[in-house]
Amino acid sequence: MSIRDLGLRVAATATPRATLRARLAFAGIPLAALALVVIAILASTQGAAAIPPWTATLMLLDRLPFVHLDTGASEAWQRILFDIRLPRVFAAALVGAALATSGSAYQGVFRNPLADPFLLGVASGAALGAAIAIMSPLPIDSWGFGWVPAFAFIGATVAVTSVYFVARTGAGVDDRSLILAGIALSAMFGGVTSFLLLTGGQKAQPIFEFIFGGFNTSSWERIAFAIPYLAVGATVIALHARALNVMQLDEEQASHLGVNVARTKVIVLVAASLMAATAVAVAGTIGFVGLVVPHAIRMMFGMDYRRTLLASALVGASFMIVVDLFSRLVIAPQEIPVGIVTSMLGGPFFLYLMRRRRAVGV
Amino acid sequence: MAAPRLEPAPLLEVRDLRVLIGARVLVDGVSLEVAAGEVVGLVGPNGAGKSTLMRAATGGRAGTGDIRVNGRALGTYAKRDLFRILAVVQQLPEAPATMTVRDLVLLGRFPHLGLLGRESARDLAVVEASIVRAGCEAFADRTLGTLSGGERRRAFIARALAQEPRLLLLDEPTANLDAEAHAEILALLRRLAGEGVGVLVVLHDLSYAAAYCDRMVLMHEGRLVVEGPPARVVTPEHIGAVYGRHVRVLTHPEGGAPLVVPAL
Repeated sequence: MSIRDLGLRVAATATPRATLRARLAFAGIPLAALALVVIAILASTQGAAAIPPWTATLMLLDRLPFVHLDTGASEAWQRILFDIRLPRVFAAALVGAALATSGSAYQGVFRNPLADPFLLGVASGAALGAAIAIMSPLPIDSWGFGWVPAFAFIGATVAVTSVYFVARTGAGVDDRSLILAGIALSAMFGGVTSFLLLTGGQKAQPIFEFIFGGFNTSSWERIAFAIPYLAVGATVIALHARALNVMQLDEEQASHLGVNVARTKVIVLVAASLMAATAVAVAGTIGFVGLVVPHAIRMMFGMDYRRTLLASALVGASFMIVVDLFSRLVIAPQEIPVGIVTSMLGGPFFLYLMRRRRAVGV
Repeated sequence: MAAPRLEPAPLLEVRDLRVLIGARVLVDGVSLEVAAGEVVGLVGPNGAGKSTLMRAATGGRAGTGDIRVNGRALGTYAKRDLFRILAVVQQLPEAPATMTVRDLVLLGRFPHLGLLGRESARDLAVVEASIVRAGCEAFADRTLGTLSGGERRRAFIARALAQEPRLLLLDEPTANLDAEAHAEILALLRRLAGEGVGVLVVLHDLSYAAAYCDRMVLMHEGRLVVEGPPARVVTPEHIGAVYGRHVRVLTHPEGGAPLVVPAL
C-alpha cells in the first residue's frame, strides 16, 4: 500500500461518528441519569388519578430530610403516590436496570450481541425455580428473604450453564447454537412451570406472575429484598468491566494480556444470573430488554464497558418505566402484562438484528 | 548480527523443552535464546512444533524443561507481571470489526492498570507512541473492519507494543500478506529490535526470514535441526533435509543472503 493510497482511504472513511461518539460518551451518563429522574417523576403522576408533576416533585422533595414544603397534596394523593405509584416505578426501574446490565454482561462473556436473559432461557429457568419454591412446602413468607429468589437464582444458573456448554465454540459462542439452546431450554422450563401451574390449584396462583411479567403487584418490601442481590451482582460485574473490555478480543489474546479468562467468565456469568434471577423474582419474565438496551447503548456510547454498563443500567431503568406506563395506560383500566409489551417490541428488533448480522457479519 | 552478547541473561531462555499431548511429542528437547535487540526467526514446515513452542514460552501450554523470561523462571511470574515484559501477537488475532485501532491499542495497557485504574496521561502517551512505532498513525481512528491485511497486522503489533514489552513473540505475522506488506512488517520488527526489543517470530518464507533475521532456528518434527545466522541455517543440506527435493537454495545477487526458490 502506497502513501497516496493510504491518504485516499483515510479521506474516504474519515469518521465524524467517532468524535460524535466521544462527545456523547462524555455527556451521555449525566444526561441518562437526568432523563431517568424526569421519566420516573412523570410516570408516577400518571394513572387513574393524575397528580400534577410539579406537585409530585414538591411531595417528593418534602420527604427529604430537613425539607418541609407546603405541597397542598391531599391524603389520597399521598397514598397514591407513595404506596402505589412510586413502588411500581421503582420496581420497574430496578428490573429494567438489572435486565439491561445482565444482558450487557452476558453479551460480553458470550462475545455475542444476541445474548439476553430471556433468549438464553435464564428468565424461564428463574421462573421455574421460583415456581418450585412456591409449590414446595418451604415457607414463602411474603417475599421476604425467602426461598423464591434463591430458587430463581439456581434456575437461572442451571440455564446459563447449560446454554454455554451447548453453544460454545473455540472463539466464542455460535449464534444459532446459542439461540436454539435457549429456545429448547425455555420450552422445557416453561413446560414444567405450566405443569406446576395447572396442577397446583390455589397455591399456584402466584406462578402466573412469573409467566406474564409485570409490576402490578410491586411493593416496597419486594424492592427492599431485591436491592441487596442487585447491588452485589452489579458491583461484581462493574469490577470486571475492564476484563470484559479485553475479552472483546479472542480468548487467547485476552489471556495474553493477563486476563484469567475462565475465572472471569464464571464470576461474571454468576453475577449476571443473580441480577437476572432477582429481576424475575420481582417482576416475572420480561424479554428483550437485555437485548435492545445494550445494543442501543453500544451504538451511542461505543464499547468501553466502564461506560456502557452504567449507561445500560440507567437507560434500561427509563425504558422499563416507560413500557410499564404504556402497559397500564393504553387500555386502562385494564393492564397489559409488561412482558407481552416487551416481546411485541423486542421480537421484531431481534429478527432485524439477526438479519443484519447475517448481512454485515458484525 | 550474532555478535557476542554482553547481557548477563537473555530475555527468553528455553532449555530442553518437551511438550507432549498424550503420547504424541510436539516439541522434543528444544533449546533457544532471544536477547535484547535481536530478531530471531523460528522456521520449519507445518507441524514442526513452532506454534507449540511459542505457546509454551508464554505459559499457555505445559511442558517439561526450563523456560526463563528475563532471567526468571516462567512459572514464578504473576500473569500481569509477565505480560508487562512479554507481549504476544498470535496467529490471526480477532477483535470486533467496529473497534477503532486506537481503542484496540488502548487494551494493550491492561496489564499495567490497577483493578479500578483509569488510564493515566502516561498510559495514553504510551498508546500514542505505540501507534507511531508500529506505523499506524494514518489509520488510528479507523475501525478494524476497514483495514487492509498489512494495516491490521500492524494494529495488533501496536496493541502488543502498548504493553511496553522487552520481548515480543509473533506467530506468522506475515501470513497472507502481499510482498510489500510482508516486507513492511519485517522491516518494522527490525526497527523494534533496533530500539532494544527482543523479537522471536515464526515465519514461513525462508528468503524473507534470512533477509531480516539476525538468527534463525530451524525446527522439524518437534526437534531443533540447526540454529544460527541465516547463512548457516539456510543451506542446501539443511533445507533439503527438512523441506525435500522441491526447493533449492541460491545466493541473493545483492548482498549474498540465501534465497530459497522452487527447484526447476
